[in-house]
Amino acid sequence: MNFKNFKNLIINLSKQGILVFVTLAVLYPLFFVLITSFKTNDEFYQNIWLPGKVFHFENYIMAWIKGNLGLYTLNSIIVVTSSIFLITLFSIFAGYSLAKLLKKGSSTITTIILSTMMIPNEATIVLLFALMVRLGTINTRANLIIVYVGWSLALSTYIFKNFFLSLPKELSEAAKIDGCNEFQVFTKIMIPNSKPAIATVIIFNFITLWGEFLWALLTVSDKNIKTIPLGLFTFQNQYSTQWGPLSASISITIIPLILVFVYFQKYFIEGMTSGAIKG
Amino acid sequence: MPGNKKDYLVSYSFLMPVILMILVIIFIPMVSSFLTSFTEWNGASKPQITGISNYIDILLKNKLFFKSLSNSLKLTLISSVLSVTIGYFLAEALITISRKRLSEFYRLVFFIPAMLPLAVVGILFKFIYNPTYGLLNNLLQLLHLNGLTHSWLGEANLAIYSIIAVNIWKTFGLNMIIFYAGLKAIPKELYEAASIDGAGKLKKMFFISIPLLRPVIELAIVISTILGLKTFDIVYVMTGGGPGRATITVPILIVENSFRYNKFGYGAAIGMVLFVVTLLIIYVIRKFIGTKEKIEF
Repeated sequence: MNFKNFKNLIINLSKQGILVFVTLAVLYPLFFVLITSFKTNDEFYQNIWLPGKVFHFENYIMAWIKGNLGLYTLNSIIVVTSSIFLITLFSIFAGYSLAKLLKKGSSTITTIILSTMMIPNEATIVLLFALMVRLGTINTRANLIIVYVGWSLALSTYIFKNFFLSLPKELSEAAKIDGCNEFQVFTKIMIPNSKPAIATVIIFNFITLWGEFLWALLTVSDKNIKTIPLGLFTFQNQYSTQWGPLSASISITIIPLILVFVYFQKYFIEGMTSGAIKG
Repeated sequence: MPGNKKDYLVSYSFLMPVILMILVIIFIPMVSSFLTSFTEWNGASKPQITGISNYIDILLKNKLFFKSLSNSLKLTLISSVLSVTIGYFLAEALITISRKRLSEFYRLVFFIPAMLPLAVVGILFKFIYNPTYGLLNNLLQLLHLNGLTHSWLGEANLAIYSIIAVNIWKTFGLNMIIFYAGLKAIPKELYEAASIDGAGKLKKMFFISIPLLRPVIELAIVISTILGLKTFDIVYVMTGGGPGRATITVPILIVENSFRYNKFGYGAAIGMVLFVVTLLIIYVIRKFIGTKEKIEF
């Protein structure tokens, strides 16, 4: 019996040890950048481990104003919120139609929509670029928004479809007996009931689009519409790196994400665990 | 039924925006990529039809393509296997934690890397890998392991593995969440019954968790594979494909050919090859891991 207890203790301790190790492996690099973001270059070169004597907020001011991160953050907010608004609007309608309205062909259409996710965007990006040039949208915010919406609809529609399938039939039947037509059933009953799915779609797309890099890199050169991921290179070039402002830029990019996530995490993990990712 | 036709109209009009957007942003580029891949086109003048010569060049003559393909496959295979395994074991560990707060804390922390933008993760780790001022080498020196210090991104043989390590750091949290959700859906009674029959933890894992999670494992591997084959941001930011061409991946090669050398037809053809490779690998995964039967509890 003693041996078994001992074995269990060892297993338990190593489990805890691994969890703590992984936690450190995730958090320490971020913490390191946070400390560095408050140091001058000299302080950093003297000792990379310890925080500086004074907190130098100048790095943040420098990143925000001289590095244009303020402007880029604003651009990212505009592009990402407009994209997410359109994505949610389009995909909630489509998901509802696929789940509840279409009697024939729903599963075929779902399969076709989903199979587009197997096409790597990188594979067709050249011709997407050519198409957008022809439409005359390169170097505009609209260009980013249209493409982001197009790329995100398949998964979002699927999330909504699965969610609406999980809602009981009685909900809409009761409303119909009360004299609602399809459209009213949808707007008055279904949308208010789908908050968890909406939260999942919003967070998921926020995470993906906030950091979208390739399309922005290829199509945006105008400083006034650059998004955050493009702004990170300002303090880094081949010959020298300004560690403080660079770290401050990284923090500025990461902090909103972590805040949004901590705030919504309950919905998100609930959404992920229920239905949203059921294959 | 008089309302039938109207219902039909409503249901399709609800679907229209999604179908139109996917048509324009995904299908049209896909079809035109396919067509363009048989031409030589610099993006400005008229495309010259050259048949399959792009493909012949890519598949038979272009050594850089094979370098990039082998890097992409290496990166995809190693990071998928490790990231899915780590994610699975962490989920197993978290599901047995009885303190709810603690389990929530770990889930939140482990998911942080998964939500950081790839470009940011790339810059962060370029900093950490810096030979003189990076966290990693300094940590090794602190532990008196000076022999292990490296120029992590500067050595041609090592750079791709340094990038793979970052990729694993970035993706294990997503797998953890996927498996956590899957494990949560398995009824507790199954484990309790197994305990009564005298099954230990390992037996429960091999005879209950893993068989029942097969569709989830398939999903996790497919997602990791798709993400791995797309790898662009992290490489572009950390090494730009270097040193030399040691870390070039297929998407980097596509962008380079199309936008630096203006060889749109050639870039499109590499894209088509990438698409076919993706499909093939997903097919193989489905064939060997996927199940046709739906598992009901």
